[in-house]
Amino acid sequence: MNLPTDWINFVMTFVSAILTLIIFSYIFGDHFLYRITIALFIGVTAGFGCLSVIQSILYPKLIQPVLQDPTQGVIKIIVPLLLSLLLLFKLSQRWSFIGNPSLALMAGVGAATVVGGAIKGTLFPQVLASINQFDLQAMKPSGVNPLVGIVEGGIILIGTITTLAHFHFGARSSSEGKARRGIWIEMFSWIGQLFIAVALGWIFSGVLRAGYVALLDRVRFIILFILNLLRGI
Amino acid sequence: MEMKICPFCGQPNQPNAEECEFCHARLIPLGEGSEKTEGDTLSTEMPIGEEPQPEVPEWLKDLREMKLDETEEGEGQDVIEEADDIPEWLKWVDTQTDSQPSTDSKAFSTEDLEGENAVRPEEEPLESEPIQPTTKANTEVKSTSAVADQNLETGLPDWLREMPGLEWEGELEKEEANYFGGVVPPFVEIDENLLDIGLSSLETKKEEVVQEPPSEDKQFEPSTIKSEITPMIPAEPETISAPLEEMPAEGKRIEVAGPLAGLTDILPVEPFIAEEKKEVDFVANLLITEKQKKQAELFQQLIEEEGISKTIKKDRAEKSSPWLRIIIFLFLLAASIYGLLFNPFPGKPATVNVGVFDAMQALSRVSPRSPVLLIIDYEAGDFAEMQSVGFGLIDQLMVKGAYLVLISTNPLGVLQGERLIQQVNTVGDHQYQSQTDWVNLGYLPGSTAGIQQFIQSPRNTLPGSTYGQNIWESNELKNIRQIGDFSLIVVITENASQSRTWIEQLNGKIPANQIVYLVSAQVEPVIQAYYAAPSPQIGGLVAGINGGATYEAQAGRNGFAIMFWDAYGLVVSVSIIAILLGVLINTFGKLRQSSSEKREGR
Repeated sequence: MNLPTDWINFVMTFVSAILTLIIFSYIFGDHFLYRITIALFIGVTAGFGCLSVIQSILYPKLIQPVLQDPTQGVIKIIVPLLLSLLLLFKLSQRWSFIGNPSLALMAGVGAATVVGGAIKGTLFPQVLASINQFDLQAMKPSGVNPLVGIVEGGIILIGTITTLAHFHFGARSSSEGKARRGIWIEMFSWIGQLFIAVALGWIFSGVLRAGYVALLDRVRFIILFILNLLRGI
Repeated sequence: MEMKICPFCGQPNQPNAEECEFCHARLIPLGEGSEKTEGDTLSTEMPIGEEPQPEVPEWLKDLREMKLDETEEGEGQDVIEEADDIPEWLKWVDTQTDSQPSTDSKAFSTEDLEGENAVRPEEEPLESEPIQPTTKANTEVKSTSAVADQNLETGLPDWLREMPGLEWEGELEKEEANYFGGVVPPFVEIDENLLDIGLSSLETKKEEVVQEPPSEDKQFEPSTIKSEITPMIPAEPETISAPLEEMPAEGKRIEVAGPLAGLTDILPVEPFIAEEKKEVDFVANLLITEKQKKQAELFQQLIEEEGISKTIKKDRAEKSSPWLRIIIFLFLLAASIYGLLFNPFPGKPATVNVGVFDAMQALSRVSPRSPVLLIIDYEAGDFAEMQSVGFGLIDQLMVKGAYLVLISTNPLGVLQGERLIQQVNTVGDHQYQSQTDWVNLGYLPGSTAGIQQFIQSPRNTLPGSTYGQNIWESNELKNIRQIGDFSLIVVITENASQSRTWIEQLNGKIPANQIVYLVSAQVEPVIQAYYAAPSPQIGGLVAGINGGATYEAQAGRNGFAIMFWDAYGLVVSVSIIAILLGVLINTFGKLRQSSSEKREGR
């Protein structure tokens, strides 16, 4: 008998199976039980996230230092605490401006970090990678056929340029008074759309495949639950 | 007794009769008592030397006294002297008055100024003749006017006479001289009426003058009063509060109402300012060239065109049929059940992709009990795929006996990481214990800034585990000062943005071959750019269930990816068939519809 010996585990598995079937029933349309289940998931997620924040941030960084050493702890937390309290004023429409310094600090530091990382971690490396695709000397040690390498690099280069051209907004006025881009830009933009379509199709197929795996996982879970239940009976 | 003759019908009536017995015309004027039955009792017949009535104000008393004095000095000579002082237009009035009937004289009677008790008879007897008193009254008015005019000339201070707005006086005198010296204009009689109005207005002003007796500094003499009211004569009481202004032909503005009536170049009052004030239109013109203007218009047009949503054709906008949805789902469900239960196409991925190979190479450098950082950044809904992708590598880490350290930038990632470890532990038949073999540092707040801080100083950023233990002094982690001290960093995510953020922040701080990415199939296109570059920024890539199955196959382990592999292939095949069928049905339907439309068109 493979039924869960522990009743708690059995109840949890049973509830999970029922909730899974309710979610599957959405294929017949929206209904009351589906909405309850979605609300249950959202509530559990929010509750767990709140507890996680308390456990990971508030207690170890705000309360624990004071409990361990009240004098040093207060000095340590006074500035973060003050900035955090200022953020609470954002709840009020009238006094929300008091929370602006904290928000400005967060936004400024966040923006600086993101921009710096993007330049150093994405922009320059990607530009260099596009250029190095045509480095024949680098192809020899890796055993790549130079011709294949150049073709591959050429496709990447064309894809990069045409995709960027699609987002080029420079235009001239046509005889009808409408904005019209140059013929070369239009042509590059059309090719760029093909590359964008391929990339988006790849991403969509990835989403679809992830969905298939999730379906398989849930079907497997229900099959195992039913089989175990049947074996138990 | 003398009979009273009715002035209307001429019939004789009783002397004490108030009305005519024949025509009922009133024989005695209204307001007179019955005792006033003797003759005509017009107030104009009152002797000049009589004492004034008690109601007469002081200024009128003075006026009367002054007249008496003048009379005492000799009427003949005074009249001549007054005649010399009287201006031309008043002389003309005098002559006109003498030639007019006596009924006009009552308008200038001083009795009218003496009080409200002075009653003017409605009808005068036919036999009454205009006699001396009337002339005297006119003389008084004339003398008063003459004094007033004289005062106008002499009473004004020099600074007031030199004001530019008073030139009209000289012009007015010239005009008056022309009027009265030459042909008499028809509105001269109107001037008399205006004078009457002015005098009647004097009655209304009288009480004010009585209430405010003249002080020693300012003696109100009749001439002074006359001079004060003279400019007010043309004004009507109703028009005082509403000043009207006219623009003469010369362009000079003459005040026509109020105490300053007749003066020119009067400072404009507020209503005038309000009337003349016009709204000023402030026009903001940008200092741009025509070329810049055209470019701005083009740019605006481009942006507007981007915001316009393209209309989708009706056949494309049609919603999918619920029955079609159910049928497709049933096909996929049947394929899933069949694949999981019966395993119809047993097999494993034969080919080895480069990403998986590099990930295995990176794993080979991990020694037993060496710290490995697992970054868990995915949602609960993607757990099935991520456990399929990550099972092979984590299983191998457990086989090697690595010390696993879990963190997450997602609050739910804490739970997902523990669940993943438990699943691998169960399916891989491992005995990994929390706090001993692996530790969960929990949620890493602060997004990008938090990641940067953790990279620089892991100890200070997350000082303890989720159980509150200080794990940094353990044997496995005591040498960790920065993130580069970890033997391997494994990022497990289904979020493209989060995966890129970790690459950007880790760039340059740790060798690329120490970073392995386990990502969802939907993130693979984004991460491939960093991995497939000539100088890759990550050391290995396992993407999707394909990568996970490949890893498990190469490692010789049967995990979740291999478990799902057959069923996954069957479901994907069914979905491909469903898509192809849908395309074919749709295409044939369109062709059939177009052919039928062509037939109908023919």
